[in-house]
Amino acid sequence: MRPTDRRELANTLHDRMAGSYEARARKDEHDAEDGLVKTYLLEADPSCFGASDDLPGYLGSCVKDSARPGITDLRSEATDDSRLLRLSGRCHGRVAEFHIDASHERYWLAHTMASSRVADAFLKQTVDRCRQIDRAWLDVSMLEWVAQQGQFSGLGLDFDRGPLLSRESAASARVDSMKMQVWGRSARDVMEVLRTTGEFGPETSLAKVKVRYGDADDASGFTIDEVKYNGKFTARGTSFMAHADLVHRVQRRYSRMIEHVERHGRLRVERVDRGWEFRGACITYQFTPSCAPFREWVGRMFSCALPFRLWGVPDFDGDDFARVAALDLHVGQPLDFEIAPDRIRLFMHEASCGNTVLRLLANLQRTLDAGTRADMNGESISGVQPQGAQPDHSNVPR
Amino acid sequence: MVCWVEQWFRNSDDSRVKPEILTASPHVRHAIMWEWKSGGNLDQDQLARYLAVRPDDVAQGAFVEPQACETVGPAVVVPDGLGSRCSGVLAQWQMEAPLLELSDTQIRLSVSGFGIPELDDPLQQGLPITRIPISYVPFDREAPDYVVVEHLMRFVLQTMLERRPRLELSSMGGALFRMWPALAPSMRTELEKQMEQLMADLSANELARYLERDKAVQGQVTHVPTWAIIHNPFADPTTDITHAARALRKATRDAVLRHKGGRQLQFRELTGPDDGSVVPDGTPRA
Repeated sequence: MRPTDRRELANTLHDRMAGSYEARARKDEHDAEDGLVKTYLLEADPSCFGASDDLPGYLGSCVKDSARPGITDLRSEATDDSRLLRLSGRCHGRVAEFHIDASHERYWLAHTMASSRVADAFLKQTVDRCRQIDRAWLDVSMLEWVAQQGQFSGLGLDFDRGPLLSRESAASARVDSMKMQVWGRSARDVMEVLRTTGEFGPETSLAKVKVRYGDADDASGFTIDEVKYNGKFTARGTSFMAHADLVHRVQRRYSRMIEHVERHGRLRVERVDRGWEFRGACITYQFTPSCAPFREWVGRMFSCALPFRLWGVPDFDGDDFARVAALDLHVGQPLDFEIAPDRIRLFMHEASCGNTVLRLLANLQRTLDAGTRADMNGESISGVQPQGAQPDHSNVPR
Repeated sequence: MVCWVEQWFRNSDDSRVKPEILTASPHVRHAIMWEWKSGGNLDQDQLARYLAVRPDDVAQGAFVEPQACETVGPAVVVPDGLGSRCSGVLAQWQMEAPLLELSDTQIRLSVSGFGIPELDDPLQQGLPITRIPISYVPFDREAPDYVVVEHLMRFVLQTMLERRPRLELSSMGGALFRMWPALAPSMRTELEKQMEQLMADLSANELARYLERDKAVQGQVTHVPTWAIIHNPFADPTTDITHAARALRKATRDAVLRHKGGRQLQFRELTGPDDGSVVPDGTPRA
């Protein structure tokens, strides 16, 4: 039976998750991903969806508009719960079904039991190309925060110069791409060795953490979640409630980061008395100068392609400065950039989306320099400690 | 707060002054007439006219609240490192004005001061300028056409993504300039004229398949220059957004190159399907 409201969905996913965990434990199939609960944290443009009475209809048309060949039987359905939608379709013939919890107006949770291969491909061909919806982008410091919320048990590194370099330039790079998964408590030591030797610092990009998380008051329920930079959570374990709790805490922290960036970063001119005052601040990304040719990576960053989704024609001034009047293809709003080999200054407009700031940070860390940091008014934007978001060690399982 | 950008008024000697920016603060009750100089272009006559401005001139001629301009004076901003050299020039002319040095990261009081601790103290330390992007005033009347083209093309793309049926010249200024209402009326008129000419040029060339001067509106008594979007690839559900955006990017690059070429510069294009940037071949940017 298909869940018709969010409470029923939670119960259904809880039962399936626990059942699947026990079955896997018996068969010792810990690493297979089929049948595991996956949750994708999405960001929906509130200006598009906020006023819509027919959320399923609107979601359906947006996703349908952006769906690429290979996606068939696309359907968006309402449920008895006004904030729960069902999105389904076939991706190259294989069925994918998502339950979308839109109880937060802007940050949606797309739950599925489909295999990673099908679910990832489905979202890539639909949501990732949809102008009204974006992923949540978790930068390195957010992933490190997640790792502190429970018992850290592994990590994945993922660095790829591909999006910013031509094939020829990538081939001549010292390290073109680096992927590594390390499970176990010493995983962090492995990462630190790679980071601190100096050899692979710029490429040691944390892209995934694995954490065992559960309610300390209920030892029987826990989740082992893999949390990825693109907002994907894959849960193994016995408690969907524990998984949902972790997801909600990341959702809350992420939404506060975006809110902070938008409130303080959007540049605007406000009317005061009989004049105007400047408000807002620029976002500065700092990184180690890349081995990549400056003009090449800057040009490709604004080529409209995923993952950056930025449109613009860089106006170069010599070999070490560029100015770009860009447009964010996610929300269709302008952004201005000033770029040097070791930093990018981003100037948001009044309606610019804060998610773009985080998308750029997470993807610069994966494609240019793992150590990229973003500051606003001299403070790290990811170092913002949102209210009530201190590490909660009560959730570490006994 | 900013009161005006490039608005002229008369000083007590009945001469015209036109500061690049006029700011006034009800808190410190002082108005400042800002001039940006490259160093070599300090103008003795211009500075003399600024020094002859009295509070009444600002209150009446520039419509500033009298409490915000009980005192008034100029401030000259020069590139980082040129403060003492420019100060020597002012000394020769027997003139005194606050000189500020502007670097990539901050603006700092170099020589003299305003005589107001609330202004002098932070400016002597240096104020970060990361909040002052060019996008407040992305181009001015002296800007080369290709710079204006970049911003117009972005506005066209934005309009198409919002699936609006037409663009009106009257809404462009407000969309492109955050400080549009603060610009002097004469500056707004000239900028609109420049944008209209370039829109006509673009709609006859790189944007010919996308835009058309809206004839229905042209016939009206109140003539507002308007362009109808005759082909919007983003309105078609079957369009690949990335592909359509790249086509507009190529059109932008072509238009920029054409307008740079018109200024007798040579350009080369970077190679690669994803790289639409344009680079001047060893020619300094205007």
